[in-house]
This record gives sequence, C-alpha cells and structure tokens, in this order.
Amino acid sequence: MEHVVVAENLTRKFGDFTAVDNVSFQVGRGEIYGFLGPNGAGKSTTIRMLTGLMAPTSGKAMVLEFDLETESEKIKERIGYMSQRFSLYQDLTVIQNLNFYAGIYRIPRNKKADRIDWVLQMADLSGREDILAAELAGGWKQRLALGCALLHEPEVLFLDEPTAGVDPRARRGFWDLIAKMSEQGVTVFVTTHYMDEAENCHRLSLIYSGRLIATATPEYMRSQVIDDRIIEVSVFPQDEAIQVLEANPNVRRAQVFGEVLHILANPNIDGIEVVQKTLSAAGLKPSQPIYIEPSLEDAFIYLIEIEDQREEGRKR
Amino acid sequence: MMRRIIAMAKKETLHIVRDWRTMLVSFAIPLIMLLLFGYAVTLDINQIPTVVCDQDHSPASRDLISKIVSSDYFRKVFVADYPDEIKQFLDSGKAKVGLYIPSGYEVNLLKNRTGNVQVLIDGSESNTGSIAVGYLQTIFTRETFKSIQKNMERRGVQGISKAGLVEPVVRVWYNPQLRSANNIIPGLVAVIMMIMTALLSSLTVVREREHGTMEQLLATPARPSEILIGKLIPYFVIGMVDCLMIVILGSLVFNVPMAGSFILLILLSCAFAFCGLGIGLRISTTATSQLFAMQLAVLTSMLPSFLLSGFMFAIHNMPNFIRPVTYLVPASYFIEILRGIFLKDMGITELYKPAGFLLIFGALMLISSAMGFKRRLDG
Repeated sequence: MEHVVVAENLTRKFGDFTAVDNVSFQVGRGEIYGFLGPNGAGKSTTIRMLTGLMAPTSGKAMVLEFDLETESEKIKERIGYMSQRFSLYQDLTVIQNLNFYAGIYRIPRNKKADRIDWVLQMADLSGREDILAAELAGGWKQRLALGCALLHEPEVLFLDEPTAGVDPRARRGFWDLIAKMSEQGVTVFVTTHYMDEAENCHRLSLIYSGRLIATATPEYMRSQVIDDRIIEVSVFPQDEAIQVLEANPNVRRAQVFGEVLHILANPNIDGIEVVQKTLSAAGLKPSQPIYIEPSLEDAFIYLIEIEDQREEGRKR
Repeated sequence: MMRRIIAMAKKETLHIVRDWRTMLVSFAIPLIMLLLFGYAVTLDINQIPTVVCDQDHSPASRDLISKIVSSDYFRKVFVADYPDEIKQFLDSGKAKVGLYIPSGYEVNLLKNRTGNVQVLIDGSESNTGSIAVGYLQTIFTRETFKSIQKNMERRGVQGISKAGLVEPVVRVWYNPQLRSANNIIPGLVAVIMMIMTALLSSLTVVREREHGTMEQLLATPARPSEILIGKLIPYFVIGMVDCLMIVILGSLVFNVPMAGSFILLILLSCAFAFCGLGIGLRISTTATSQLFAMQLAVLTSMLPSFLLSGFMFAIHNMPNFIRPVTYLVPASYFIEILRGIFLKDMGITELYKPAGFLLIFGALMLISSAMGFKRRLDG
C-alpha cells in the first residue's frame, strides 16, 4: 500500500511537558485514519505538526512523499486542514469566505465557479451564500469549513475534532461526507474523542498522554485487544460492589459504566457464576449478569490501564 | 503571487467596510483633527483680554491705552477704578493682562521724568504671556520714542527726528502673514497619516491570531510576503485618502498655499505611508494581543509625531539630549518635506535627503516585519 502520511518518532515538547512522545504511524491512500484519545492526549499537536503549523522537537514526517521540514509549501498545496476551532472569517459571508480561499489556493479561474458550486452543493449551503459565517448554525459552519478545506481538491484531508460541538444528526451527515471523500481517493486523517465516531475509521490509533498505545481496525480493537471476558451487571450500591468484586482473584477489574458495572473476568472460568456468587455473598442483590461484546470504549479503557500499569512499573 | 495578494487585499477590505468603527476611525478622526487643529489650535495670539486701570486720566494716558487696545492684539474687557480690581480679573482668568497707569504719568513725561506704567501678566499660560510681553514692548518702544521726540521739539531742537535710530526692515518669507495654519496643516498631514497607517495596520495580524483565523491561513501555501502585502494594501489606500483629504481641505477651507509640486507631494506621501505601515506591521507581528498592539502603536507613532517631529515644537528649541531622538522619527523628515513643498516650492533636489530616509526606514520596517512574521503557531 502507498503511504501518503508517514510519521517517524515524532516528538513535541512544550518546556518540560511532552505533548507528543515518539509517535510513529503510516496512513495509506484513501484511508480514513483516526486518532482517538482524550482531551490533552496530543491529538491536535500531532495534526499541527503534520500540517506544518508546529515544528516537531524531534522525529520526522513525510506527507505525499514530501519532507515536512524542507518541503512544507508543496505539502500545503496538496492538503486540506480543518482546525478544531472554527477558523474562517465570521464577519464575511459564506461566498466571501469561499472566494477568499479560492484566491489563496490559486484555483484556476475557469474552475473556480465549478469548485465553489460543488462546495455549496456538498455542504448544503446553496441559497445561503450571502449569510455571514457568524450567523450559520454549528453544523453548517462545520461544513463550510470542510468546504474551504476541499476547494482546491486536496489529496489529504486533516480534520482536527471536526464534529466537536455539533448536534448528533449533523455529525452523522458529516461522517457520510468524509466517507464519500475517502471513496473518491482522498486520504483522511481525523482526530476525535467520540468513541462512536471512531467506529467510522478504517484504522485507528489510540493516543494517551502523548503516546500511541495501539493501532488497529475498530473491529480488531473491539474483539482482539481484550483477553478477558466482559460481564455486565446491574447492582447497587456500585462502590461497594466494585470493592467486593475486585477482591476476587478471578476479577481483573470492575468499573462503572453508566447505570451498570462492567467486569473484566478471567476467560477460563465461568464469570457469570463468579460474579453472581461474589455479590450475593456480600448481601447485594445483582441483576442477572450477562456476557457482552466489548465496545471500543472498553478496549480503550483496558489499554489505558495496561499502559498505566506499565508506566508504574517503569517508575519503580 | 498576485492572485493571493489580491484575494488577501479584498478580504481585508471587506473587514474594514463591514466594521463601521474602522471606517469611522479611518475617515472621521482625520477630519475632526483637521477641524480642531485648523480652527481651535491656533498658535497666533490675538485679542488678549486686558483690564486697564487709568488713575492719571490725562490725554497721554488715554492715548497710550487706546494705542494698546486698538492694536487687535489686545481687547479691553474691563476698566478698573482701583489697581486691586486688576488682581481680581487676573485671578479669575477673565483677563490675561493688566495695565495700571498711576496718576502723574503725563506730568512725569512732560517734566523729563520716566512715566511709569505697571504691566501685570498672567504667567500660567506662559506662551500667551510671553507673546503679550513682546507686543507690549514694541508698543512701549514706539511711544517712548514719540515722547522723546515731542520733548525735543518743545525745546526747539529740530530735525533729529530719526537720527541715530536703528530701524529694522523686516520681510517674512514663505509665510508672509505668519499664519499658523500654514505651518500646522502641512504638519498635520504627517501626524494623521502616521497615526492612521500605524494604528490600523498594528491590529491586522494580531487580530487574526486572536480570532484563530491565522491557523487556517498558515495551513495554506500562502507566503508571509503575500499575506502581509495583501493586508497592507487597503490601509495604504486609507492613508493616502486621508492625505489627499487634508491637503485638499487645507487648501480650500484653510487657504494654505501650495507653492510646490502636488505630484512630488503625493509621491513622497506614499513613501511616508510605508513608514507608518511598516511600524504598525512590525508591532502586529510581535504583539500578543490587539490591546497591547494598539497601545504600542499609539506610543511609538502618535506621541513622537506630535511631540518630537517639529509639528508643535520646533526641533532646534529642544534640549540637546532629545534632539538626536528626533532623527529617528519619520514624521520629522516628512514634516520637513511637507513644509518645504507647501510653503517653499522645494523640489526633489532639495528634499532628497529626508525622502531617502523615509524610503529606507519604510523598507527596513517592512522587511523586518516579513522576517518577524511567525509562519507557525508556536513561533
């Protein structure tokens, strides 16, 4: 597979703080590649390094086979970027923003009208050309920003938390657009902290405290990452139940998952029975425990815990 | 190159046109300043309010008073009966000059003695005061001479009327009526252009950083030079429109003569606009907030143009340690150019030095802004 984005040991420090720590990965052409992680994990810093907005402290990166350090101008001509914060001109209208970026990207005059029409169609902004960007609702703002980033038909699209603060329906529509882009051969690098959105990616990296802790397809993450079986049970009070369960050697971990508890148990035993007995013995009244398929979130939490344990070990 | 600059300039113009406050600052403030400086801030001193107290009540004392108050420099606001009343008028500020002629003035003159006249000046307005003293001394000298002449004639000495008298023949060049508008309005072109260009351009880069729009712009292939040149074009136009506005209104409304070449004036104004834009841009590329940028722009452009450029206070009157500072103020060179062209019909052969300074200063500022422009979010 042709790799359009290659990062090798990318590291970025802010003073003593390491925001991105030795990160390496590759993104293939046409792939939707996701960076999933909590706020402050280093997602934006990574994307800003890849778009030439920040210099890496060490490590290197290639985008479309151009070296980020020496050929960032060539890269910038071929990529589109959408920042986390809405960063178009609020006091300009939809069409004025589009015209501006068409000029900045030097879209040939004979193609300009077509491209702008295409964006207006794609973003469902036809008829809203003369509305000030500030007056657009969240979802439209997002699509206008995407449109400006796509005007010059970039080969790679970098999206930094593109759906932050957008309502669920608009988010759905937004991901449909991204899927369409990918079908047309555009490579998409996207960061998010929404687990459900991450499912839309072809491949996914989990980033935590600046480090990549896993890279795989969402399916693989869900099914293969966790060795233990997951048991769901409803029981109150939750704090007491967790204490009792974690005292059992066959239970690796019990954690609150909304109204219910998720218990990671040794796969070689009958987990359901163990959970039921342990809780009943403590005088609690659990619902019928059931085995569940691990979600991406379960996988993520599991991986983070392993990482934390490893970190603890390193400190010792 | 051009496409991006044009796109940038168009976008920046849209911001300006959309925001009525920027429009107001760009065009109303220069107009207000022109009217203020043209009408209100006149350095000519006329009609100084004067209170007189004549206790001599003689033809000679009445003659002296009428010579003074009919001179247009002084205006009689009150006739006091007692010298103490003069104090009240000066204290309350109703008069700036008090004139007290004690009894015996005429008799003293006739008897070959000195005719004493007391003059009280309100020194709290030192400028008005010193000018009043100057005017009065001229009048008194003339009266003294007349009185000597009369005494001589009375004693039968004839024909010495002008003997031994040194009389200067004064011709004022370039501004024959010594109108201060002729001096102030050309200087005002420099002050207003500097304030406008520096202030407006000082916000342009830092505003985009504050609003977060710079992040998107930096992710495009646009070069710093394209971004900066595009951004400056509309502010250059504003600066030149302000320049034309003051030059034209100055000549139509305030009758400031235009002795030299209008074309040369415009060309050199362009050079000066680059200096102002350069200062503003240099600030904008370094400042961390719009507020800070504005304060810095006021400090580095407005104050020096007002105080250290020769606009209000002549540079040769400044203390030795301040004078070198004025060499770094572009407005002082431009004011030299403006007064040279407006009043003295100077050409480029006389003005190449200040013109050269403006070009070099502007170029250095713009180049250093382009180099100081952060191409990344983290510098």
